[in-house]
Amino acid sequence: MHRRALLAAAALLPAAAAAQGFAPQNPECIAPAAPGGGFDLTCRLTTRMLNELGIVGPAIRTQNMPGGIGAVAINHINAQRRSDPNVIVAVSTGSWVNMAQGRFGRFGENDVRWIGAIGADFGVIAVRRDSRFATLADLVAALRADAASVPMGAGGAVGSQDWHKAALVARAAGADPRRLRYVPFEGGGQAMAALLGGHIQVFPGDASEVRGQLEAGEIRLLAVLAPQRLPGVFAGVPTAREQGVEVDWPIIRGFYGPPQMPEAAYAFWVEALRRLHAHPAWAEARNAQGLFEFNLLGAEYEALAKRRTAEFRQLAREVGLVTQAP
Amino acid sequence: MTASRLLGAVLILLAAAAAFSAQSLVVPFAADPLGPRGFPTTVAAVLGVCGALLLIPRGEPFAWPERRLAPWLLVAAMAGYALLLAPLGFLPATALLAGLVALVFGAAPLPALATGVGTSLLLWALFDRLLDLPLPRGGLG
Amino acid sequence: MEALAALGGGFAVALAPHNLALALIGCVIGTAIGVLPGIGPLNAIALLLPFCLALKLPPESALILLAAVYYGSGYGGRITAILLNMPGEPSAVLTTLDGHPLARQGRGAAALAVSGVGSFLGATLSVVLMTFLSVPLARVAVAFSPADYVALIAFALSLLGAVSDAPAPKAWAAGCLGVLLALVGVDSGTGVERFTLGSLELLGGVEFTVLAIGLFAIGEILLLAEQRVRAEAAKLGGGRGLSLRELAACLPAMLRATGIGFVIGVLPGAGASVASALSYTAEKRMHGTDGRFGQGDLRGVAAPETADNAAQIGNLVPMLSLGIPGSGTTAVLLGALLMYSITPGPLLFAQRPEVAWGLIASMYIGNAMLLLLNLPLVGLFARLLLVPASVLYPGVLALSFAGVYAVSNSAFDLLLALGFGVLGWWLRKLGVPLVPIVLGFVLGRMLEDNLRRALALSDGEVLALLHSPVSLALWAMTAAALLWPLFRRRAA
Repeated sequence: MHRRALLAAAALLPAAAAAQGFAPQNPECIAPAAPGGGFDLTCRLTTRMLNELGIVGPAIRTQNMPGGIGAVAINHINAQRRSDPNVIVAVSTGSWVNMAQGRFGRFGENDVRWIGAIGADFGVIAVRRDSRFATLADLVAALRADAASVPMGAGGAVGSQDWHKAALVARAAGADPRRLRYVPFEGGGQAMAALLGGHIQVFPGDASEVRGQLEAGEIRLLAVLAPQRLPGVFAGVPTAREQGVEVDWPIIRGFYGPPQMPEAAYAFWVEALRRLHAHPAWAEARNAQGLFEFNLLGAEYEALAKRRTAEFRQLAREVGLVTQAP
Repeated sequence: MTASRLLGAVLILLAAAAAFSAQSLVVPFAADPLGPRGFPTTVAAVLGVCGALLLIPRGEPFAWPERRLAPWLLVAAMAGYALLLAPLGFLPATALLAGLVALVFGAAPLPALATGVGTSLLLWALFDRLLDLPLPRGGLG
Repeated sequence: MEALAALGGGFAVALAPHNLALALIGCVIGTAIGVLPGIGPLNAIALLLPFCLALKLPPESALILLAAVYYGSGYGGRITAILLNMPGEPSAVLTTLDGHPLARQGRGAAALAVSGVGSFLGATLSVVLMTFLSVPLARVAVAFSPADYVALIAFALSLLGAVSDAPAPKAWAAGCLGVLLALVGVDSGTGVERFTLGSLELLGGVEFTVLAIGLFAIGEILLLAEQRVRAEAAKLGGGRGLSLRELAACLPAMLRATGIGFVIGVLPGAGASVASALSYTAEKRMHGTDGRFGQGDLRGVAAPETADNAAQIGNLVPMLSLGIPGSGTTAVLLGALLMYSITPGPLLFAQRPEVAWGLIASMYIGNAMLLLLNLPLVGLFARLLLVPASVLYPGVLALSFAGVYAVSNSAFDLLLALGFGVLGWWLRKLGVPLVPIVLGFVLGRMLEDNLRRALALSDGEVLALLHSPVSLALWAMTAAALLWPLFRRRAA
């Protein structure tokens, strides 16, 4: 057929990318979410930049595969496209949490090829402007005295990434994460509304979603959960580490490929992200997605993914979260 | 046995299954006072009561299908569609389904074929081209 | 008036030719999206966003376009709901109750016209309220606590029995069925998997569109196939059009529905479905004796349609004035702002007046466009029923399946929809109403989530559910709604 003939012709051409031994054909980005979710944006906006900047020639199409909070996508990749060189899948820290808790069926962090990160958002600890907590130390002291005395809430269930922020701070304070009075909301927006309405006292949210309220002075941030201070409006907010609480919470967004992706294809995609990070236009596009710079790629990214998943598994075991045996 | 009593019995069974399934849930720790069991158990109880109320005879005769084959034919066609969509590709699978439905709704073979082909082409243009939501291409590329 | 001057500035933006054109395009796309099953405004906005960026549209233009898709969808959902008994979006489910009987009586065009006028009125009055009261309203809305939401949703659920004329046990059983379906998946509170039967696909729960397409579209088609419906469609056309007198009779219902819809829409934790359910049942209760609700009462179309659009606009209030998204769709709209390096938040009106006020002004224009687009077309839409069943139903079925598959790529979802289709077919034959299933599905989860929040915040103290005057009043109304049928029966 028409398209096939074109493809055959394209394959014969000594394209520039062929120098690396691999040229993608009908490349595809799987977003394990419906159009409009975070994964969907990761796919659509990143692939648009990859195409626009000429890093990847053929148009990358985004395919949505919601189902089971990402479980369906990883199963699809493992069952039907184990060695497909033309597919990448959007992934985030939340997926690692799910892998650690065995929610992806029998597939985990060793069943995919970790390509690289595109950027990261960072957790923050937000309180209302008139809060009794002035610093993270105040919150830590209150949690240490009685973990159940501070009503807090965010957009995810117990065991989700939002809950992890609160749990890690509690643990660092020497309090029992299981005793936290944590209230799950339907998305960060509703949690922010509850914070402004005074129904909860602490909102462990993400930097990108609290920026507006921070600029308007509606809320204060006790800490950002990042290794260094964040730029811009966040520059005045100390990190948790500065305040003696050893907690980082980056929400790292990136891509993985099928477990038996050919080496040349893997190298191609890693290189594509490397060139993306190096391109001056990327910074703006990345900021627009609410992401800060974070550019671990290839082996380094793989090591990170595996280390973090192991840590989450450890925490889940420690506090006795339900885990499905992998 | 009237239809509504049968319905009542099925609902009671369903409620029992839901309640039983809810009781078997393992809670990690007392994260909140409500827990995962309380709400579904309550709803199942209400469902069970409704089912019990339907057991009281009210005597509405159940309208058994007059033309029993047609709907089940459709069900089979739709199930086949779901399973064959990816391997066959969107265009042929959808043309087949729409053509079959047209036949069930009384179209002559040729118009049914036209409906099938027309529908599938139109939908493919709408979703795959206009909305940029890829549909399966199938073995025919 | 400060707001009026600012609004004037907004109109200067919205009336620019390219913005007018974008609003029109958005309205058309929105209406189409409302008609398409499977693809909602949330999906559509997400799909359009990359186009806006690629075309380098300025932020106010992009927002005008995307918002028009959002509120335009409220006009589209009713078309298939009225004509085919297949709601295109959640809040149009209530519209089927009287809209479809009207269409069967040949008055589809009248029902479409009433819903068009109602949608316009609800949306426009809400935009007026928003223009002047946005910020104070949003402040009140965030004060609404989880306990208050529990009372509000309990009240909406208590009216479930009144939605249909089916015997109470059937209506309530249907509602419970809906609630149980909503609980499938990972429990948002404890992270426990419930009712998934070990299926990975069900971890994330049942999608609303899959349920609605199954119960309504597939179920209806199976029933029609069984009943050998072929020529029936042809006799559906040609009823009386809408008279001014009928429209005037609907006006009070529309005004009440605007009030209910807007207030509920402003609350970040409720939604258009709650609003349309409440206003439908309110009208039905008010006209219990003189109305023909359930058999084709125009007010039964006017109320939910008006409330739906009013709530959609109301939902934009916390988004624009506080930067808080009240629903998934407004969250994506907020995300669009972020992509333009505009921080949505309390300072939006001060920092980027052209964006905030341009959007508000464009909503006056967009809704007028939608009315003008829709009214002359009602006759044309109604002629959809003249299409032979052997062309119409294959098309509808294929469209439903393609819509589900395009956003999910899941054969499982198609089979699930088919399962719900068989369920809907049989329940219909057994006289079990389907609308309570959908309401239970939408409200049940909200009830459990808020109950959990309220009890977690009060440390398990049940009396805390009655903490505020608002919740007390709502609980009193809930009790009245539940006891009302008993009194009525005694009086009769």
